[in-house]
Amino acid sequence: MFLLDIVILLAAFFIIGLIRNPKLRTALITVASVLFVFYLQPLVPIRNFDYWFPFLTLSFTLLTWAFCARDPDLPIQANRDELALILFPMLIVALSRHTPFNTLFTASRPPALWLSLPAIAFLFILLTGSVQLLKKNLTVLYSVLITLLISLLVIIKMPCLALKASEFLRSISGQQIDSALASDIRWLGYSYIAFRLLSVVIDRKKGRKLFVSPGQFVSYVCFPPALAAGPIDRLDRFAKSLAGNFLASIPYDDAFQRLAIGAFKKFILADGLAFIALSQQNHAQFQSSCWTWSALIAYSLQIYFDFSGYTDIAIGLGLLVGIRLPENFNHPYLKPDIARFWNNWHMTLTQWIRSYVFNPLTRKLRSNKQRPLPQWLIVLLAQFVTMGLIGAWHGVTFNFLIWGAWHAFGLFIHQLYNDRMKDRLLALQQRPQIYQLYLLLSWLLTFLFVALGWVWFVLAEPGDAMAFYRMLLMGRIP
Amino acid sequence: MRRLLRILLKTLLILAILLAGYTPLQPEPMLGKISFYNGLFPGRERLPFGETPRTAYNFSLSNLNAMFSSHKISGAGKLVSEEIRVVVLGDSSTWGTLLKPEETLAGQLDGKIIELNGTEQTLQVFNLGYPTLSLSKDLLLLNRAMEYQPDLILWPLTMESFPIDKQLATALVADNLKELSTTFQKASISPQWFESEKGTESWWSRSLFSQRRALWDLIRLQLYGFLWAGTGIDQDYPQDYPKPTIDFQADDTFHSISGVYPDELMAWDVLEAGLKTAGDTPILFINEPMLISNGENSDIRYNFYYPVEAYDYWHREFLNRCKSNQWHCQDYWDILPNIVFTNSAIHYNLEGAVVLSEKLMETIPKLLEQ
Repeated sequence: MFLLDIVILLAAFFIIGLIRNPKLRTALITVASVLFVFYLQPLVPIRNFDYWFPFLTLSFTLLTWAFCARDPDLPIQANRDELALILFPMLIVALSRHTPFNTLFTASRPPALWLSLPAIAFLFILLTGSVQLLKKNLTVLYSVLITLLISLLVIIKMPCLALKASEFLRSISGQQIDSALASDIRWLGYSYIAFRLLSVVIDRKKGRKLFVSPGQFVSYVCFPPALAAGPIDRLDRFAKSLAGNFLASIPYDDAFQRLAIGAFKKFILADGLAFIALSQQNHAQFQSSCWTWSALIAYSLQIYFDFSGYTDIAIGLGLLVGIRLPENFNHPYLKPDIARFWNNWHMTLTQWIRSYVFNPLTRKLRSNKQRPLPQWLIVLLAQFVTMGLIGAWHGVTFNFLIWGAWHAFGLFIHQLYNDRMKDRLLALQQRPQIYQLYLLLSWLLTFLFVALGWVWFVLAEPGDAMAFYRMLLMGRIP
Repeated sequence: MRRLLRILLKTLLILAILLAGYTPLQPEPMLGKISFYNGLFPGRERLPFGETPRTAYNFSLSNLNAMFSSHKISGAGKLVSEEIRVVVLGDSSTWGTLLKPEETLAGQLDGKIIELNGTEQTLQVFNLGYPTLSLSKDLLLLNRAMEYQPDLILWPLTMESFPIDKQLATALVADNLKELSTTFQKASISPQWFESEKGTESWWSRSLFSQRRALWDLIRLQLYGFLWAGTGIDQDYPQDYPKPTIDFQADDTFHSISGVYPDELMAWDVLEAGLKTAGDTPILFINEPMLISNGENSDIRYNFYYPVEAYDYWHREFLNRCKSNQWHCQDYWDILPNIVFTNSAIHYNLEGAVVLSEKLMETIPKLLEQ
């Protein structure tokens, strides 16, 4: 999101927040969510896909709602008004092609009406037809939906598959395949959208029922402030606000304070640090390890200020319409161990992974009573799978997987250390000065561990990362 | 909400004060003197210039204070007795397009030892070239360079820097007309072509709003100092680049004029101003090397820049003026073989810089002994 996008969102949400009637405010949030999905989508080199990606986002969202979050006792007509609130803005965006404002909602002119209108009509038919399906066993359908959402995520995150996808989409758009790039698949916020949708489908598959209206569901999945960089809220929490339980009064002071802090972090600190931070371009250019360390620390701070700045902005914007989004960062770099770092870094993602991967996996591994696995192996496996997934969520590349493994290893060692040293640490707490020194050293070690881990995150190839480590530790390699 | 309104009002008030105070105070040039270079970061080997800052860690700006504050000449301090301070002016061939700082002419000369009146002296050479072709730009930089009390000024130049229409076309000059005007005044020279161009700055151009980009450039220059310091990179080095053309159409025009280019359209008076600005410090004018093509129509054109007839006339005129005015001049226009030219008819490689520096090492001691 650019500064201008944030200003436009701020203006829109400020106006929506002024509306006292909860139903009207909810309706406007729904409309804003639909329109901003299109508006915030950046330009895509594949023809019309800056329309089709948001269209697919909304389609998946509505279909997930229809199969997982709609009240089966209510006929689809009961949601007619809210569906209109979603489909009508989609129609407006499609029709804007033939107005002078044909790039108002989308980065380029929307596709021809003979393509966009049937697509909207088809979506409507699917939604209506879903009522019949709901009466049958949906376990298979949920599995298909989960597979589809994960497959798309893998395609987007895996450069070789993204390239193939770009070639395919270019071929059906009548564009040259030769110019296809993996980076063409710029689907705004899909990583977050997929996780929100997956949580709902998985919960539903497990038999958990949480029924919300389509407007509430679209607002939850596509809430504009949280679209590009989270946080990943939980449906039940978010839906409560939209069901009329907005904050009693808009906390403007808090909202603008968060917005100001977020903008300062993102546009001053993070963007300033970007000039000096480690990057794929400069990693091999440093001439001494002093500058190399500085660039690495600058990157560690840049990524934090960038990400947490966006979260502050998202929370501030949410407050403007009376919705309190969950916190995503709680001073992670000040924590004295890697476990606490991960409990305070991108908290909503780690909570999601803990709920849907780590806990079920640990339970599964422990459930084998005939050939029980040792506790340390269970922890090791669970940590590696979980952190590997977090790595893969950023991109299915070797380096991201190593980054995940790096942290899994750190968490595993920390767990072993904690188990072994528990009594001694308790005893150490009785000597406050030494314990403070211990905490300081722990903090330094944790920060260094996290900072060194970022090398895998920033650099694309393992060879580059290894060369950079050599540079960090031994100075310039001839 | 009331607190918020108070903050908003205070913000607006501060903004109003800033806007009102900025225009009369014009702090931008002075702010350029605040620099991390020559302190936290080493000074730059050459003046800031570039169009691809993200890869070059360098970019063009027009604040002369900032440019010089970032240059290592600002951190050079006072000369010790065994050192001779030399500044090298000129265009992109001096600045060193495609060359690393140590590969440029200044880089090759820096640290060389010469014998003067029986004692050994080390040359402390500063590259003050700037990649645009204009004598006025050179004069502007020379005027600044004099603050650092050089013992010798090397001024490589080429015919393309002389036409009057080139003098103010450079952004660096256009943004520093006032300083150029002062320089001319100090030298008691008032070129006619400059009088008509001086103009005045509008209120709008002096406002904070209008100068926000220039202010941001000052911050950017400091930020890029980190990567300059860490990597020593200050320009983009492409893997491949187009070689200079050697085949030409039968075109004998120079700046749209066929045949000899009239003297009255050349800014010879800038050289006079330069000599007066330098005062007692000797200036060595160097007719810089260029590619002499041997391809199609090479009897009509020497290279992309120059038709034979116009260049030969200017060349004679340059040598005549050197002789009649007793200027120190060196004529190196044809000393380099074509193979050393890189991406332009005046950009030479390290080999070219070595040859040129060796030639100059023969001349510099004689000149300094005079």
